[in-house]
Amino acid sequence: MSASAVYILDMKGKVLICRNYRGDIDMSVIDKFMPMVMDMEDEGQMSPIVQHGDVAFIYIKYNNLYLVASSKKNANVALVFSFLHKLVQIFLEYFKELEEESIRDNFVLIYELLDEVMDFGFPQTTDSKILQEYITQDGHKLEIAPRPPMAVTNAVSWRSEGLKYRKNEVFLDVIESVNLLVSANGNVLRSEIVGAIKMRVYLSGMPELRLGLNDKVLFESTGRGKSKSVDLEDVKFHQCVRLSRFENDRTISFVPPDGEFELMSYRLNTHVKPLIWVESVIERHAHSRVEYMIKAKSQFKRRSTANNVEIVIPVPPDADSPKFKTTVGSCKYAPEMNAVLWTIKSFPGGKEYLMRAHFGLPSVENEDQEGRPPISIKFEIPYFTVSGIQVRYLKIIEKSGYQALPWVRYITQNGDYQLRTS
Amino acid sequence: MDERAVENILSSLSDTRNFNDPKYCHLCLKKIMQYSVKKSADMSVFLPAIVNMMAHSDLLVKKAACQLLTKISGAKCELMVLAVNTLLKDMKESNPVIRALAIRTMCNVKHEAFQEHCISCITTGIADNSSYVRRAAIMACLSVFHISNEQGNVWGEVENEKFQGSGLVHKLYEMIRDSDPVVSVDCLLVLNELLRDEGGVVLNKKLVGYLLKRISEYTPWGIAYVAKLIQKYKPKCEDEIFDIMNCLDPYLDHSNPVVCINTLEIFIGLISDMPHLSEDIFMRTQSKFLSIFSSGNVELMTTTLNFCRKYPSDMSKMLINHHKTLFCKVKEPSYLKVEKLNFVVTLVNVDNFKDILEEIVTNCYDNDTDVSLCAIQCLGRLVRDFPDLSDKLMKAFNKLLHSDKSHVVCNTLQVLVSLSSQNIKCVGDIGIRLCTIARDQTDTEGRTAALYLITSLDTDSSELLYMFECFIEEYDDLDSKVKCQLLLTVVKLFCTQPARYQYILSDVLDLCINDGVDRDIVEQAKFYYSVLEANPGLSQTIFQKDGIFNSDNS
Repeated sequence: MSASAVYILDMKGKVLICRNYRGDIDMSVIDKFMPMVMDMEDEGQMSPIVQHGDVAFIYIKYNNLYLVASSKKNANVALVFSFLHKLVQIFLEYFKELEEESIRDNFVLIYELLDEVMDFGFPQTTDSKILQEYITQDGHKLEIAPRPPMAVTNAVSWRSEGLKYRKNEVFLDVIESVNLLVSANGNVLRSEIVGAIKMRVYLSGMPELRLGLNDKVLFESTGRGKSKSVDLEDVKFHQCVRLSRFENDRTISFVPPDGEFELMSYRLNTHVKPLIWVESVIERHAHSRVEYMIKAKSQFKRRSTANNVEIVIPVPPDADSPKFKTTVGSCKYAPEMNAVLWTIKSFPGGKEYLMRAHFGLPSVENEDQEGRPPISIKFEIPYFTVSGIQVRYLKIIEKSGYQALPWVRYITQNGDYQLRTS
Repeated sequence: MDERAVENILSSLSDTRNFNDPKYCHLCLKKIMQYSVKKSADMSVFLPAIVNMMAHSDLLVKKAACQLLTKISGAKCELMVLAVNTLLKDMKESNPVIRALAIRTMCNVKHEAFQEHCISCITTGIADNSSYVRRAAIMACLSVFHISNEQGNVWGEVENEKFQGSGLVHKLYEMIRDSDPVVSVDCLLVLNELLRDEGGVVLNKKLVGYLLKRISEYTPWGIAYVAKLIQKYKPKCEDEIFDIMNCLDPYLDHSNPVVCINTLEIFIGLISDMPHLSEDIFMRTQSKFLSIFSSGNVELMTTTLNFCRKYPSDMSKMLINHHKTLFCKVKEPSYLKVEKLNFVVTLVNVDNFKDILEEIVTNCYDNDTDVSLCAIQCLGRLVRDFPDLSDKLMKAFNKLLHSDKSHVVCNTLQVLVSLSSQNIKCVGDIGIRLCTIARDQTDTEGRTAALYLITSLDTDSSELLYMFECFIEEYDDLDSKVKCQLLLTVVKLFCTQPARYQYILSDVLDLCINDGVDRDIVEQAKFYYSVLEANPGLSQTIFQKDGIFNSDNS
């Protein structure tokens, strides 16, 4: 690992904040970073690592910021990248959004955070739940200054003792995103479901939670193979879940952190019928016009409804005078995206809608021909999961014996949902 | 911030009312910190204010002041002594944050007054009952070690001796068994760096066993680091190997991808004498790799693909049925697309051939030159790897040559040059197209390649003659690489059809021999001329299509 320094830069390459961890490099070397990135961008040879002399810059871009780590030693690049991403995540949990403004507004606090997450170039405490307990947004008098919580040393490092709530509640969201890639001739190239179970926990004390899902492996082992169940692949758990118990008898048991966190994620590679299918006929008449005929079909059960469906149809950058005709929803030309946005507020299952668009093209052809970007779709289907996963129970046990209310919600939405056009 | 602003801040801070207002101090510190980022910033003017603020009752102010102190070097001594005293007092504070801060600051300032207290601070710190302070003290060892080893450091040698004599190394080995998991990992980190010249931290069976037993307590960063460290360790017997693998098995699909990759590498090292296990182990990590590739994190995907390249055959065996996860997406940066294409092409088998071919062909037309070149190179690789299908594949090249994007055409030519003349013949009748390309292309590489390819085709259209006339006309503007290829092409064509190309050859030779700029070209032209003159029969066999010049593309 061992990053020498971490910088946060704005789009022009100006240093907003930097922290020198090892003192083994000249901090002003960062001035070389931006010109090099620009050069590479001009030549179309981008790379996430930029080397200047014996200093390597490893960077990611987030909104209008560059997060750069520099290293002189043979650092583990993958680790540095995951550290930078983790840093973004921490800042997001602190400031809700991460951009130039939030950096400027929280300058001293960020310095403080940078001090905690890394020491001498090695990552330390990066669990934002823990950090938030002793690095807070308002200044402190010394006498009452927060102290690093015991949790840092505790066996249960993600939860502090002595939490108290008047009303004990747990919210559980099952969110599934569908990734889809369809080739120009209508073949499904890739289709997968990425699911996540997110929780918001407001419970007193040290509660012990047990979550029951309709997990296929569990059902088969307990002789309920016939009931409807789901074969989860690539399950990832929050560190609070006892992995050994899951391995043994597929029980998901854990002491949850306080507040919001992601309990688990999973992936399913089963072939499901694409929830929203789009067929497109595009007629290009060079130098005069281009016509689109877009047919959208909802292929899920009639009792469900997709909300806020947005179909993004890319058009040539030099298209002009848009004309639309559709029976449902509204169309808008978004020149900044070079696309038409067809939005349908509510799209019930088993329906089929049509949209036609017409654009003029200039008689002089555009010099650099753009590639053919795919049609992408955004949507949200509440009370429904594609995989059929179900929460069977959520048991909450605490030694004081209080009653707590679990709330469960299901939602399916688009992930990376693209259909290539011909 | 200019000089006046600096003075303003300083004078306003000397007012006790402002000084006692934490909000106001934050504002000032923010300004000073921003100022300190500048290259030529002289921080010593702030020293009195900073030393004052180090004793401030607000924790944030204190922290920021300590941070700033480390940026000042070579300043007045009496103020520094004051700062040292403040820190020594802080060492006895009840709040662990302040004690840790004091240690960290003490060991990071490059000043004589601080250095003499470093070792004693660390020794007190590592015995502290708060793990937070212990951690700070352990990491501070590194800064002391580096400062005392710096060249030209007058007091360094004394400190270095003190450091070696302090028994800290021994103490750190002991503290690997500290109750706090972060302290434990930090000790390893520090030892490994302190002892780098001796090969890093010494791992024996007992220590490795201990680490494996504790590994579940460590943070993901800690696990990743320990996994990296254990790669160094060579177990003595087979039982030990299996013990280690059993302990580490859960980390092959840990939620942190770096942990998984590091663990996988331990396994690869352990089973180097048991190749029959490798397939199982790679299959065990399959789902992890698949989830990385569908994570959308471009940097992670790129570094992982980079890792995959280290074990090409194992990786392609593992991912062969999941080629679709590695298909490119429009918005991905070109460096990732290139990595993906280069990997996907190694996965080709009978079942997925059609899918992968379609993917590669789609990317041949990418707007990015690198991606397009890479995709066409992959196509070329398929031609070589699948000789039975090469005839059909070459048809795709024909289509590519007719693309309206000039970089696609240019890339196609460059790849065609690397293929055998047998293959090139299958592309179909492209002679006329090549002439147009050679005439119209502006890119040197593309032009040279087109001229080269012309000789390997049986074209005798009048288009060729017309093209050469164009070249002769604009000879002076040509790049020397193009000139070179032009000369060779004409000589070759002359040897196959002397009557047809006699005039062209004489014109080209004439131009080349009288080239005023490029000596190389002159020499080459003279050489060809003398060969042709000396033995026409022999030169024909040399330059003719199947002669020696056809196998290289210079």
